[in-house]
Amino acid sequence: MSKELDEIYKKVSALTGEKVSAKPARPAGGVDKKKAILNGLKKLDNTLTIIKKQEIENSKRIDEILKVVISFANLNYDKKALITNKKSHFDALALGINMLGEELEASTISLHEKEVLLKEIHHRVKNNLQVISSLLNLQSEKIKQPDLLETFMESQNRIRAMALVHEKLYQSKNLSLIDFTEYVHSFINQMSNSYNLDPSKIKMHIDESIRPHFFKIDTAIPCSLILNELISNSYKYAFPKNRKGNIYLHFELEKETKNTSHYLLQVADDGVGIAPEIDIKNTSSLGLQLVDLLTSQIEGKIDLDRKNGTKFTIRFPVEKN
Amino acid sequence: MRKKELRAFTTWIGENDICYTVVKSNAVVEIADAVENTNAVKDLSDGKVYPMLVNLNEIKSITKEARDHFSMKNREPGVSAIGLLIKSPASTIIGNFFLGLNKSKVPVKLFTVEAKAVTWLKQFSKK
Repeated sequence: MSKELDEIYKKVSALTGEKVSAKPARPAGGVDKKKAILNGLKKLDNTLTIIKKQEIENSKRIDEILKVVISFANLNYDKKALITNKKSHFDALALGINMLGEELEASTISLHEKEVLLKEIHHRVKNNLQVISSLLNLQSEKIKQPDLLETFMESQNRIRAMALVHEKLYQSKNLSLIDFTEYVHSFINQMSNSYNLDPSKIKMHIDESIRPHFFKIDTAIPCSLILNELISNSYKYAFPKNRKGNIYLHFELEKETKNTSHYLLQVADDGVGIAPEIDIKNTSSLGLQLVDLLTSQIEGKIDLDRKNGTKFTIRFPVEKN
Repeated sequence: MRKKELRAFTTWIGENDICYTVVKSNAVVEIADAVENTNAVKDLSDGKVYPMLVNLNEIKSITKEARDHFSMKNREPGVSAIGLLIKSPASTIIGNFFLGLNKSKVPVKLFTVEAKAVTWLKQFSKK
């Protein structure tokens, strides 16, 4: 019994770092053995109570550190883990967590600053483009020749198309991608207002099945300008002499194979059709030259279908995005 | 040998041409302490650039501003290299921050044995 107790005491001593023993400091002499065992058990009980207390304290500290980590994960840096003077591993852990939180907070702030700055830049670019467009508008008021007036309006529309990309960019969540589908809708509204079109004569049909597609500015700007040229072309030439008609806009992601896909942008109208002698690769029209140039810029290909009006189909790779 | 007793540090230049800094027990090093230490080193070195041995063993914590100051990103380093003496868990954590997130302009190495740190630092002594 006493040997077994000694073993237990040894283990407890190792665990707690406290020297505990059932043996009295001086030989027991006439002291009752039972009393010594009872005494030992009391000490053991005390030690177990200390261990239990320690466990509860450790658990509390772990909970507290976890709360701080959770708070950091929610980008709330007000909480700090407690560091005591005990120089324990818990203190080191708390210190490390606090320091990581400080670094995270600093980098989050700089990220936020960058976002604000980028937003501001897109906002300013958009405003500057609008100023240029307004200046052209003011200047055009003095112009009497219809062809020159048209040139001014075309330039204004191109500038507005680009300004709208910047507007959508600073309104977007991540400031680098715009939902081109949403852009298309806003752009059509802008264009209709610009040409002052009567919707009962020329109807614009946007394929409602178009899903959101996100483009970087490098793709969004050329696409917006292509769209501007093709739709302007339809507005200007497809429906002469108050002819009624429709303009169709279709945009989708086409799968070629399992791993490759491309975007398809289609602008069609049921108007008089583009003159057969016009070669889009060799034309004097600035608008069509731009379409050809910008399609090459996004590594795309143009296809022109002259049956039942005009249908431009542009395919460009997804990889560019 | 001149010794500077600061709020959080004790700093001196050893006869082996190494600048020593010992962090005081349970010191919470703040930016004011960091600047005070830099000024003390500058004052003690008298224009010369020494390698530095920092004993972090007794440190309790260090603020972000103080860490940024010691990482020397926006100032001329007043020392040629830093050996960090670490043994306690807290000093190990802080030491490792100076190898990564708060990396210093000058070479930094962690040591648990002072003699080894001194041997390494001696190569950065300018004669």
